Amino acid sequence: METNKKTARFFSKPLMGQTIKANWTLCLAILFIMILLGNVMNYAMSMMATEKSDADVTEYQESFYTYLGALATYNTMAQQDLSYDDFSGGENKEAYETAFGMLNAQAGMDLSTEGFQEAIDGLAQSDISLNKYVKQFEYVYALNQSEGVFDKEELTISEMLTNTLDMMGVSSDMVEKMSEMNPASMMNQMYYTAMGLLPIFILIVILSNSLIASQVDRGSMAYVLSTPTKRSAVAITQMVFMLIVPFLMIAVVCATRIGTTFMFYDEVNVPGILALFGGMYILVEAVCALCYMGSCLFSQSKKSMAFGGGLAVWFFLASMIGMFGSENMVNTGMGVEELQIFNKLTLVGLYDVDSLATVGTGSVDTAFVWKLLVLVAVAIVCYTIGAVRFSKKDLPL
Amino acid sequence: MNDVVIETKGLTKDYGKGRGIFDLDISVHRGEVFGFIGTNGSGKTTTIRNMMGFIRPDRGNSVINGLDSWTRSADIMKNVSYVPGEIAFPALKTGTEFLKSQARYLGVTDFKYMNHIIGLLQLDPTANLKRMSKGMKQKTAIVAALMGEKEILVLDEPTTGLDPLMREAFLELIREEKQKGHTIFMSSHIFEEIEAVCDRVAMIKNGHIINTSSLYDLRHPTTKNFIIEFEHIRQQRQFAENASFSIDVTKENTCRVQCSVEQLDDLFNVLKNYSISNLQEIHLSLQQQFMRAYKEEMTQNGNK
Repeated sequence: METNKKTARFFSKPLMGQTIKANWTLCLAILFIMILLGNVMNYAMSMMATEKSDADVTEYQESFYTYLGALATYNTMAQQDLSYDDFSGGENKEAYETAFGMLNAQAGMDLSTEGFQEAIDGLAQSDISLNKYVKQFEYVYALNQSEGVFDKEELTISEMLTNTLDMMGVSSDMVEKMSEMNPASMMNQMYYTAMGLLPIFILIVILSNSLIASQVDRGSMAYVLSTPTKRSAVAITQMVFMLIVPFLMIAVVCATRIGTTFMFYDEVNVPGILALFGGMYILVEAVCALCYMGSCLFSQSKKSMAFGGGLAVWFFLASMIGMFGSENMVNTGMGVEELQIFNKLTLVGLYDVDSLATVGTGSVDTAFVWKLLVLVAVAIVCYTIGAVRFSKKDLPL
Repeated sequence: MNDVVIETKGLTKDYGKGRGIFDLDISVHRGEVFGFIGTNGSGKTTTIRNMMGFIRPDRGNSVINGLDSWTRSADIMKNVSYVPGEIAFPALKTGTEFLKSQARYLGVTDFKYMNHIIGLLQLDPTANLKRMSKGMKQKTAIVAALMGEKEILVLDEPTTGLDPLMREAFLELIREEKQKGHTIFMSSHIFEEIEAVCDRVAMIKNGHIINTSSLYDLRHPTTKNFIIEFEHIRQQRQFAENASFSIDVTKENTCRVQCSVEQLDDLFNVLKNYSISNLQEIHLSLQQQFMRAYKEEMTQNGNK
């Protein structure tokens, strides 16, 4: 029988079939981990967002304190025992009405039970309990108009607090910054540049090794190359696999993430999420290309593994350390700005999460564009070097 | 088409420290079964890798069907089947799956011949690829290569791991292929199987071809050697004195006779008059020939 099979020059379908068969379980397992990680993270972030409401309550706080102050004055004057707790019990409305009426008449104020209730309701919007406000008022009231024994300056609560913290060795600046930090941005940074990347990094290190170097090392590549299949076809087929698999996986994770975001939040910035995952795909492909190149350059599995795995681990670690140099971490006191340098030593540093997250919002920061272009260039160069080298080197088969 | 299907000219691949192959000239003709024999590490596999275009020669070249092995390797593979020396299968589950995937590479759609080989080698391809014994793996590899029914077979130690029965079945397969006019190049370090099927043999040592001989000469020698044991010393002396053959007296009542094929009749006529207790033909085996060539080479090298 004369086989009239044509020589496969650029793509080999049977090889693709074989590669898929050999690797699909691993890909699925990693995909599962990625979906789990992405969505649990998303859920956690949504919880955090609801806990810390941004409602501005300063106005209500002021009026609440005014009422409390008025009540305190009235109590000493009229030998009464009125308080917020009592008022919120709601059984003694008349007493308050009389109290407010009397105070209005005396000091020309505009107090009313409705006004008090409004202040209470307004203050309740913040996630700090009203009892805390009452307690703080107690301190303010107790310290009222006292002055220092030596410097004769007015003593305030906030000054006392700053002093106490300084004594404990905690910078009061930091405490202030801590309240300004943006936990959502930090979680984003953590997910997109570290935790979300780890599973897929592991996958591509294993995949790139098993697609080329391991088959050459073990000798099973001989069964492919002893058929009318050019080496370029092998190189390109495996490259296509490494381009498509991360794409599909990231696409699925992205889709589930958009889905759960709709569940957890009222507003969803779909273009922003797409941009973040798109950037992640480009980053992953750049690392993929490096691992692929290692796999093509080395005929020994362990060398290729050391090259690809070493680089991936380095990128991951450097971006973790670099994260401790990010503004958010520095603000919380967990980081030092000098660690920022690690972000320049890893490809992950070219994946600018903060500027990508602005896509779809009013003010788009385009700083991510050139960084992603660098990653694309890295990917193209490494894939090309790998494929060309594989087509020309000696194979111990 | 040219009569020579596989040819290497001055093929050299130097791995340093005397390892590698040096100035190899081999030519294999159409329809021939060519044996390639040598000790471990003598360069058999390196030669075959060059032929298959897996490695690039330092000097010289290897040509199959008129196409250069290195530059046209994929085109060559349309007509060549290869059984690698080291058996490592792709990460697939069962033998059947592997054979099917291999059939797709080769474009084989008719599994009649494949099933014929499977039957002949008594292979159970449904077994788990990773759990297969060495012999099973070897059989699977042979089936995978042969199912393409290509004109040229390149086999790197194809019988390692096979039991004697299977080895016989395999040799039968090789004979079948030869019947079809296919060209076979097989390496081995087992002399018996080379002797059993090959037409010509090249011997390689330390990367150099030390001897190329036709097995036809070995199978049909022009002179034959016998050891004859007589019942009495007297008779032996008498025989030695009268006979017209070249005779070595070895032990007391035995002697070694060398005669040409034409003289055989005479020899037996003469022997009719003696009472003989033992007659033994000394068969010059390939192994002996190899050893001789090997030693010659050694002494030559020693004198250098």
